[in-house]
Amino acid sequence: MSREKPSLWVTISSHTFLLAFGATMLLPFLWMLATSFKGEAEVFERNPIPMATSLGDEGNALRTRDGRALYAVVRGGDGVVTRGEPLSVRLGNPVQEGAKGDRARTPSGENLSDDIGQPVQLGNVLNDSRRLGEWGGLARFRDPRVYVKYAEAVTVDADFAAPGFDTVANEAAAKAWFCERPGRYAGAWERLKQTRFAGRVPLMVTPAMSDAWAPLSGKAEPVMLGGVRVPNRHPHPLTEFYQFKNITWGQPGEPVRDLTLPAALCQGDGIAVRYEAAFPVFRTADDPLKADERSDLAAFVGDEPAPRAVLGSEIALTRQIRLMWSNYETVLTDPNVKMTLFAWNSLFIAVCVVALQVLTCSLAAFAFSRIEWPGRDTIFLLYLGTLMVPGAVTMIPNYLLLQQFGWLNSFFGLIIPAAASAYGTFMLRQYMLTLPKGLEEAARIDGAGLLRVWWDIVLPLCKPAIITLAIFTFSSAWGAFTWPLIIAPDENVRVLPVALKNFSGSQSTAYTLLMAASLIMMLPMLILFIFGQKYFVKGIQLGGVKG
Amino acid sequence: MADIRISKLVKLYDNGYTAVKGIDLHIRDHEFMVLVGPSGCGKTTTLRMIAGLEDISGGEIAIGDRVVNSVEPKDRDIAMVFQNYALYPHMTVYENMAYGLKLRKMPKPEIDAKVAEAARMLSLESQLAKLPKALSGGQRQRVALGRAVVRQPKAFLFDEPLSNLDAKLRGEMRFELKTLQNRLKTTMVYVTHDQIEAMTLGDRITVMSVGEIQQVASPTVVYDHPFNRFVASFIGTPVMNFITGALSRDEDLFRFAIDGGATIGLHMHHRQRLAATLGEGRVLGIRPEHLSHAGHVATAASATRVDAKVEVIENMGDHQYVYLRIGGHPDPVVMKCSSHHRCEPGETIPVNLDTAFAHVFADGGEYAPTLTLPDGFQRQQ
Repeated sequence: MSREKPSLWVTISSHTFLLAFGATMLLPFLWMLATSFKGEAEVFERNPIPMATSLGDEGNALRTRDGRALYAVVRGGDGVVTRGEPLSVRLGNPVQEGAKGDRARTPSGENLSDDIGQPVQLGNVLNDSRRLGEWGGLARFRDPRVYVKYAEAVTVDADFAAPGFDTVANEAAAKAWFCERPGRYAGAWERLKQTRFAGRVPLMVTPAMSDAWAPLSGKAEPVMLGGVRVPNRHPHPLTEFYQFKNITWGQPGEPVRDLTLPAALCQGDGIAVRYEAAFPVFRTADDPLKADERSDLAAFVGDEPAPRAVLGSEIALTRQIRLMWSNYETVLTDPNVKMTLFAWNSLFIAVCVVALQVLTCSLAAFAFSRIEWPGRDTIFLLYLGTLMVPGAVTMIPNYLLLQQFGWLNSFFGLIIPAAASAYGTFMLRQYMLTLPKGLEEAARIDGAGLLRVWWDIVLPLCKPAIITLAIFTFSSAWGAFTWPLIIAPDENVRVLPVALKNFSGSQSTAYTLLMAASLIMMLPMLILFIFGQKYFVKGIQLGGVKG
Repeated sequence: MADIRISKLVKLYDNGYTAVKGIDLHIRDHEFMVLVGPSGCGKTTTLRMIAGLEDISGGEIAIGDRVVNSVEPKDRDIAMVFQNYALYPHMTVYENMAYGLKLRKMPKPEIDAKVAEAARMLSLESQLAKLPKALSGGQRQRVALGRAVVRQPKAFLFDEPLSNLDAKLRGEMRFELKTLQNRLKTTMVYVTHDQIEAMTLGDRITVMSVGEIQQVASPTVVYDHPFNRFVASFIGTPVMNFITGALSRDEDLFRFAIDGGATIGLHMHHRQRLAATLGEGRVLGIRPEHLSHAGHVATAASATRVDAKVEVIENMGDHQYVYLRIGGHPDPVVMKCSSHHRCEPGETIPVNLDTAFAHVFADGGEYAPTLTLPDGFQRQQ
């Protein structure tokens, strides 16, 4: 009697449902894949595909949102402002983006250090793409004090003269600032002066100078004092109080800083902000000096005759897919991560375990299935019974045992306990039972002893089962976590799954790197699965899956 | 080259089943000995004990001059061909045949020569590089033979080697086996349940049943002089007719009154023991070919003409099997005659019962002894 065929509608809807259900099983993996390509700030954003907010592609013209190009403001020596080259986008190298707490680096990979030689942490650079989007496409420091640290001090000759300027007091203030605090230059003022300032002296802000220089404010050009170009970055009326006299980020007692630093100073979300590109450093909302939510950029806009401040929010932004291959690069090459060492450890252990297990299991299975000996089946049942004992129960006794052997933190401790398995023996035995006994008898008559029969006849014929066992064993050895964590925490013998834990600290987790490393770890298994699919299926048929 | 002596051989399994009950058998040098019997008669067990694949529970097996009870199979210098060929599926034909030689550490050129010779003998030259699964059933069996042949063992053991083949191939392989035996002149022990193989191949046949030997003799002797009713019924197609009735004597003439039917005269040669066994309940064994249609065949001096009713006819082409009912005899009687001897179901025809080669058995028991054997007739010859 044939069953009634379900209607097309039922077929389609049930298939759709099942496919959708199956697809949900892929979600964790997809999240993993996507995250491994994201930037650190992007991990918990909803976009499934890694996206980057940026000013555009490298080399593109910088434009306002209404499409007009921006041109650099060129200041001649005579103070005349002319239209320069179009401003173009220069992206920072995403390679340099790391986890919070990593050192901030220039695009060429050098660490950024502050005046006193302390490395700057990336977390101090704003790289929140959402806030960048609201405020404009330029990076800004989260903390203005950090910004101060990266601007080079403006230096003056020893005979520099200016209103309110006192050479002796200036040098004393500079010495106090640079050398009388703990740090690299402590107590080495003269050397610092020679090596870092080329014999000149940093211009320090004093209250007297502030007062004396107040009338100079409001000019678009840098203030020239005694031949020294003192930066005045904010020529626009709106930013008047950024005038030099009001610079309070240079608190009295601190150096005057030139923001035209040639190298990129910071980066946010992959964008390196270069002072030379006339991008001012933008300030955050909590900057006490800030009048406007946004910051600005002095530029010629389109064909407007005069330069003006362009608000960050005016600048067109693009949001496009950006895959952070650098996560993989970091995981694979960063000497602090040592992925290759752990991968070799894992591989070595997995290969040893597979080889030993195939050897021991096939010998045991041969004895249990092809040789008659008293008590065989009872012993096999007992052997099989060990499958019922949860691994967690034997963990502590095993640990103590290995401790007595002196095998903690050694490959022995990782390999030997896994060198035999009741499951593998069971699986191979079941398979061997299906081999015709005649083959073995024929071989014995042909002149083979038991070991010969095992090696020449049984092993080759058990190839499918052995490959299956090898695949399962490899996958469980490759992915083992708890036992290696307990038995071998040392770096020399650490395995990949344990090493992955390093990406997760007590305070935070470097999800992007963790996911990249996890994917790298999955790769051998994926390849194994693709090529060994039919054996996986066979394994399920042979004795159920064991994780 | 060696003979095989089996004495008081017993096979007792752990579950208490006795497969072989103390048999004695001498397989002569160069002899083709066939062990035949129904399933479970112990013939295969006996063979496997000779091979060393089964432990011997009691008694002794000697190959040549050596008692091999505790000798490993590989050291007995025998070769065995299995029912399912038992070719190593992962080895090529060449490797299958060379395996035994390789294990004996024979130099490679010598192995090559032997395998090539065996392959030529079995016309397997073009198959040497193939895997067994690429071969037909007959070819596989030839490879299995080849594997045994290359070793040049003292004895070949065959365990129903042809039973997996179809009828046509079986015929061809029988011929090849016989040729092989003529050529190799090696002791061969051949187990089968097929009496045609037994009759055609064996120099001698050992008929076994329930773990015991029923008769050992040449095929002709077994056919013509079955030692007991079991042998009589086991050998021959169609099966010998067993007619129950009463044995009586009238001077020199012994008469057999068929139950519910006519009385016929007995004309076999060896009637000397019949005198002592007159009475009811005797069984007359007469092969179907010794019945004939009296309408077409003259009644011989040793035959008696009786009327019988045709029940069923099985036409085999050149001959036919006619199931006849003689009077009220409970079982039908089969006549094998030419298919030109026309008769119709339901028709009553005259039938010649030629008793020259018939036998009389003491009673209806399965192992009832044959009463019409020559004097001094041995169970084992």
